[in-house]
Amino acid sequence: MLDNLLALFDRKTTIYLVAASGVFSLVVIIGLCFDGLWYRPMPVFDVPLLEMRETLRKNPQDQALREEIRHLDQVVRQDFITTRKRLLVGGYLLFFSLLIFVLSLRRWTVLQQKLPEPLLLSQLAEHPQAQMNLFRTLAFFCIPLALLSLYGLSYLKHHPQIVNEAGLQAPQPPGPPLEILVPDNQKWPQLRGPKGSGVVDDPNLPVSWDVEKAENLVWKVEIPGKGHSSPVIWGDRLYITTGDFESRKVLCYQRSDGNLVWSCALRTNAQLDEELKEDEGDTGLAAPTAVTDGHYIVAFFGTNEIAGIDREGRQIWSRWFGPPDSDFGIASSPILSGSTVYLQLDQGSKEKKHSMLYALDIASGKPRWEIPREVPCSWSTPILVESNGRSELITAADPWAISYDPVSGKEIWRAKVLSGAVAPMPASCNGFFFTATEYSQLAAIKTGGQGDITETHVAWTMESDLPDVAGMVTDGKLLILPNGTGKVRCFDVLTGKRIWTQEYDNGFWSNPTLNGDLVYMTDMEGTTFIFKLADKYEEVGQGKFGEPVLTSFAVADSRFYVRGEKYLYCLGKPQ
Amino acid sequence: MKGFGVACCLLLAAIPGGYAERRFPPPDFETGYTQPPVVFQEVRTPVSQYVDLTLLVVCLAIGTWLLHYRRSRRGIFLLGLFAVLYFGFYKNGCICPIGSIQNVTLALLDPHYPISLAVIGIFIAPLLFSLFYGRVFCGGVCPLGAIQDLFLFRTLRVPRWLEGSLGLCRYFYLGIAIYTVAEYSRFVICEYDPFVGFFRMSGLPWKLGLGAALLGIGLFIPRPYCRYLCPYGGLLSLLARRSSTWVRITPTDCTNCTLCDAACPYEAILRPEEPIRPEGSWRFKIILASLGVMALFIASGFYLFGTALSGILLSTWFGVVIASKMMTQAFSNRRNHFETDHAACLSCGRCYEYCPYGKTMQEIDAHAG
Repeated sequence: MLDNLLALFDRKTTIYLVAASGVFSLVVIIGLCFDGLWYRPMPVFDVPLLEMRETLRKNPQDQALREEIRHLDQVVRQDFITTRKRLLVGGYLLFFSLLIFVLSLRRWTVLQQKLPEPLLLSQLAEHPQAQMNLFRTLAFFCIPLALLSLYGLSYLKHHPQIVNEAGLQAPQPPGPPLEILVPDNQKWPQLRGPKGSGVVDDPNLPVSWDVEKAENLVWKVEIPGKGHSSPVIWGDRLYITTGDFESRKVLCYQRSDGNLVWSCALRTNAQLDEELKEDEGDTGLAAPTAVTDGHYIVAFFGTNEIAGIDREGRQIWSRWFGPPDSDFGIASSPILSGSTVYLQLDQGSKEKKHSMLYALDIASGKPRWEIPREVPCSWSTPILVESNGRSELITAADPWAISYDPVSGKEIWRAKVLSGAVAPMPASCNGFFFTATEYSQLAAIKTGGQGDITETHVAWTMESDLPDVAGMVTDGKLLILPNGTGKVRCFDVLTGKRIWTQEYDNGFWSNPTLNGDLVYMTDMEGTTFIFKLADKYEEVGQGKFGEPVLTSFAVADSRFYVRGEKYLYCLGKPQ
Repeated sequence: MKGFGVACCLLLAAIPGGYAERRFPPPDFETGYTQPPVVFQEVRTPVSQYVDLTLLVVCLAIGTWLLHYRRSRRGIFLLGLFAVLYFGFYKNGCICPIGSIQNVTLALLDPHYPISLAVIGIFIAPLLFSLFYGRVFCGGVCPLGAIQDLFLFRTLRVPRWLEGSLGLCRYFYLGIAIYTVAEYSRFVICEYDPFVGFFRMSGLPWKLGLGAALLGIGLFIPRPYCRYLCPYGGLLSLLARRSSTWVRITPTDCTNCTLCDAACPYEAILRPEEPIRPEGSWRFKIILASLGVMALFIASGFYLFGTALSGILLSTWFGVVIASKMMTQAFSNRRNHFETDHAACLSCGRCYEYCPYGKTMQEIDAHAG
């Protein structure tokens, strides 16, 4: 049957078919090219519609203009859809015409074929020179090519680049993605909230709870993994990280019921030292808290791996900063501003010059800038401060507190106020920046300076009962300073005068949270003390977790989200 | 000839159309309009993967039957056409055994990487067929090979020494692909797949251009991707060397008419020849040189990658590939008749059309099989 069918396509018919399908394909291609060249995607969006939109923004009452924009918008959309259909039809036409063209062309070549001429046996023996040419090719082509490939790969190896996970990334529209709109009270994008201050104002948050008695407990779930990172929240999603030598993961939970939505194990080019398996450091490998803008979650781990993951749990990019070089592990969390992730990665000794400050694009991981820092390893998380009309990214390490321009990375000011192992997260308010660490001092620095401001801008200092891990919280008038031995002190922000001191049985590593005038502070055994931020210490309530809690609270929708050693808790008043 | 020139132009001209992407901003009126959630492409169901695996195995079985029992070049061509349409255009060229190298590698290196049994089956099935029946997959089941076969117009012979050297690139590529999976979790074989853009009728210009260039080269140098770049083809070649059944040229009936040699576009027919430089001293020198090259690459690995095991292994692999090729020159044998090069034969069946003893060979193959 096939022979009969093929017999229909004799030489003449085949040539006609080749010509017809070729011409048809050409016409379709010209049509598609013309369509592509002539059609400017969304031309009215370029100028007129944008200008009209701008005009409407200035004068939102202009109903006529609003209707005109709507009409124009609809016309453009209809045109867009029609063009899409035309492209699709054209594509299919081109495909089938090219298929016929190729097959008929092939049939034509078969009909054109002649029997090969037999070779003489005397021609068969290959000249030995031909075999020697193999060596020449190997020497001049293969070996250089192989060595070049190796060099290229080793270059990649020693200059860790951004690795985009091709094929895993969903197509993104050009430009920044649209914000996933959620109410502000459902955003807790980074450690200690939107401003990194641990300050929230929600009168419906509970002032007592007892997990064992299920008092004010909405849900609790066991966390499948180790870590000291805190939860971050965007809308109905909550993210935490876990990590050990075997794998580092980002876990996504449904905020309403605590169901695990997905978990994403990192895949990076990290070469982990086996020593890390034996000793993960005091911090563990998942101490840094992730950041999220709703679209992406950027998680950093004690292995010096950082990765961007989309909200569906697909890893988009990753980067490895080389083997970690820190005495107690890695603890500094990334922070987020717009679409930029800032990471203070202070490692090694001052002489090694391993410390860096990175600004990375959240969507791609590409560096916006990265600058070296002349400081040894530290564990503190930087904060972003608005001061005198400018933004400052302020870091704390031994011995310098340094302020940078978040856009360019240029240094603005520095103050020599610290020493030793700097871990507590700084705080800021009312033009003051507070930083402290154990065996050093608490320093209140006036922001807005330039250059070395050690002598000019340090408002006051204090040198006793300082924190080793926990950060501070302030309302602008009073400053609360918990420490690792269980002592909490309250200071006047402006003068540095001690207002009161309260002693507890256990120390504090968790960062305090301020809600209205109530301070929530959780000790290492898992008891939260709730007291008023006032001139006199007054306890309002207590919360009991029944297990150690070293992390910071996340707040959304009048509920606390807290990570304990084993469990993740959602606390709130009964609805 | 001109027709093919036109074909190339058409293909290249199609590139802008294929690349054209249209995006449209969402309306931003304050009308209470709720943005629909972003919808991502559904992950293929496991059933679909098992259907693909079943079809692959059925195609391999049909290809084996057509090649070794029916000895039908036409049948293999039609099978190739089906492969292009189904595995290529319908399934968008994914998942294919070539790319599955990376899935399997990543699954071996990362216990958290999920891999279905179907993907493992897709990886293994062509290898098993190759071990028993030669490169049946390349002949008529691989869409990448078949699409290149469609464009073959006139064969230019590639000198054997150049063929041998260029063929090593497949193994370099295989090593680099495994290395990048291990180091970066990147699937470079898929990233640089030159034909997937055609199958999906969309793609980056450079990738479509690369595919068009390979098809253009393939007009005169048949299947350049399969012969010089395909890493999976390299694996199949290794196994096909030991295959129990293959495309045969019978020593008893062969009249040395050379028609099969002239018909084979892939330089897969070995001609009768004297062994080169049989002297022991030369053999020794070649072996010594091979070992030297291997040592060079191992040392380069340590120099370039330090203590990174994956880099050293990659460098060693390069050394082994080149040294093995050199050593084959030290052990070449005398050949009195035309023979099939098991590793190079792509099982296309073109030689059947010309061999005057085709039917006899069919019987012998059936007996041997």
